[in-house]
Amino acid sequence: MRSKFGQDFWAGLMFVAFGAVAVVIARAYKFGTADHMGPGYMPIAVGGLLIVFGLALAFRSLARSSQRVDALAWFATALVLLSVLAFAFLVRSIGLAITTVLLALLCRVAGRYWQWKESVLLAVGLAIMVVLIFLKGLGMSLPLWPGQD
Amino acid sequence: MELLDNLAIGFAVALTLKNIAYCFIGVLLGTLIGVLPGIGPVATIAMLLPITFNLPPESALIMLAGIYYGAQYGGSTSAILVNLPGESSSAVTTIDGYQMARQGRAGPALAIAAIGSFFAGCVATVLVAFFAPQLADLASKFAQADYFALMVLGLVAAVVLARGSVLKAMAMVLLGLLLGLVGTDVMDSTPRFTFGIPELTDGIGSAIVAMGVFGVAEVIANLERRGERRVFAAQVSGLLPSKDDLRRSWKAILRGTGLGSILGILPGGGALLASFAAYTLEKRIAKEPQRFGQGAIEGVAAPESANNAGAQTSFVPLLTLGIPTNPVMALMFGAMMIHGIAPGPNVINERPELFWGMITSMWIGNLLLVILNLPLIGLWIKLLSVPYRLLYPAIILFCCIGVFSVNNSAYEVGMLAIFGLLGYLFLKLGCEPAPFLLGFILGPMMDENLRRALLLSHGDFSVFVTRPISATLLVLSVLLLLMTIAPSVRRTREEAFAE
Repeated sequence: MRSKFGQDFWAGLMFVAFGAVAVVIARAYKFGTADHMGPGYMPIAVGGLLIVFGLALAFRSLARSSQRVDALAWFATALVLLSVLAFAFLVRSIGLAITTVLLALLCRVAGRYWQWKESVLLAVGLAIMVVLIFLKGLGMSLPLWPGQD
Repeated sequence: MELLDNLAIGFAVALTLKNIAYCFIGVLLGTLIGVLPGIGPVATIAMLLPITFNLPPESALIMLAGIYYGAQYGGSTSAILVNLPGESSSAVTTIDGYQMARQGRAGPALAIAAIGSFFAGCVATVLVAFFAPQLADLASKFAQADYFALMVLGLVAAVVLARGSVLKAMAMVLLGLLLGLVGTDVMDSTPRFTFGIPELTDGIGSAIVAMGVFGVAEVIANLERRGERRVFAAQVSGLLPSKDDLRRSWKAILRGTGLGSILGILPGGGALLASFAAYTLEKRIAKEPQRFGQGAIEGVAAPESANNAGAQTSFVPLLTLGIPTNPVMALMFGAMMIHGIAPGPNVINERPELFWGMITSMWIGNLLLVILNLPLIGLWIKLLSVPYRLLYPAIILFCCIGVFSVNNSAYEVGMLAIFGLLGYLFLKLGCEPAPFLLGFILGPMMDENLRRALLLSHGDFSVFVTRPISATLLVLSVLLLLMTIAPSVRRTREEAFAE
């Protein structure tokens, strides 16, 4: 399936957005001259090129259409990312054991696997494994339980 | 013979009991993770990076290299048995390998892949040992302008190799370059794109980007597909290839090794290009090309030899020029930096034991792979039958722990989520992540070399075309790009990737 507003169109917009943000921010850095390039030279050059390429992609898609973008898996994406963020925010305060269990359960929900017995076994099994490998075996500096940091 | 002396230094390091053990653990773990469908060498190395932090540098690099070919070989196993390549360089192996498995000939396919890889590994080790010192000598003649031109060539090659639109791949390189610039500017210590966040002043770690884009994003995409796979476990009976198999394969192994070794050294090359090219070559010169796609053993032998040879020779530009030419080498680059070794022409002179130890360990690693894999094939098959629903929470967990352990930073785990999302968007929008990652790694190096080159030439851009090395490399880049855009090449390229 092809569409004018297909993959290339949105990819083009994404590139333009990144390029534009880069150029706007990098204007604050010293641009310099060719023999003394400042820190802003490369970001503005690359950002500018990125805008040009992004526009070219988007217009090409409008002209000859490109492959349609499939529906995004919002639920899976949100929960997988949430599990990663949970690890990031919690691991120092509540320790590796509980964080691992939480991460595994969130991941299972992300895939819509509702067999809760299997989920709990998996979560606890993973927790024991990583505690043994990373805390006991490799001596990583992370608390095991809450309040040990 | 200087070569023999050098190899002797290497074996003295690599053959210590400790380093053989690390090589063995590396190969074993690499295969163990690499055999899991959907996890390629990049994600495997990124996940296992933390376990090498506490080792001495030689042992760490020996283990990482072991992980790399282990993962590579594991990827071939899943390609043959489940039609799911763990990594892109095994993608062509699925074509004939999986057909062989369906015909009940998974055993010979796996055995030929192992034999071919081993042979290719032996040849590539000698080639690396022979050419690396010469290239390092050449590298000492490189000036900033030449380095810049070489990186341009590498990025152009990455664009050429990407699937789909050239325009999009070029944009991905640029985006990578841009994100690579995040952090403190090396020339005058201005913080760039750091948004006042202290964690960003050192830049974004390549392991975070690799795990986000290749690890987390892949998991999300796989959850979306949720297809059923069938493992051809029961059909693996006899492992030994027949006389006919060997007769058909040996030339393919030789050709694959030769092609792979050469393509591995080129910037942007490595295992992926090598395996595609070797498969295409076999099909072209075959007397009965119609057998390809129907379980032709040459279609397994050639790309498997080629990707192993390419994997190994792709260490040459990293170790001699200090330039990573593909995402895996980018991670090795990062790992060397963590251990306080700046990859480049000096490694070979200043740390001969490290350099030669790593080279010789490649050969030992390949030997271990053969010894390990043929008897353990049953174990890998069991692993392959672990359902994805039990596997993916572990992948996410290892990515989180892996990222955390690099700098003991929870903040960076948060970044992992951002790059996971970005990687998923890339997949959805049909954007190849490999050129992005390469641009990301080379971004700051290109910035620095460009600015230093122009500083020395007093702002005269002609320095890039008046220096012979730089001019040659840039002309090559332009030719390569023109060839890709040319209509006839474009068609063959599309065919090659459609296969």
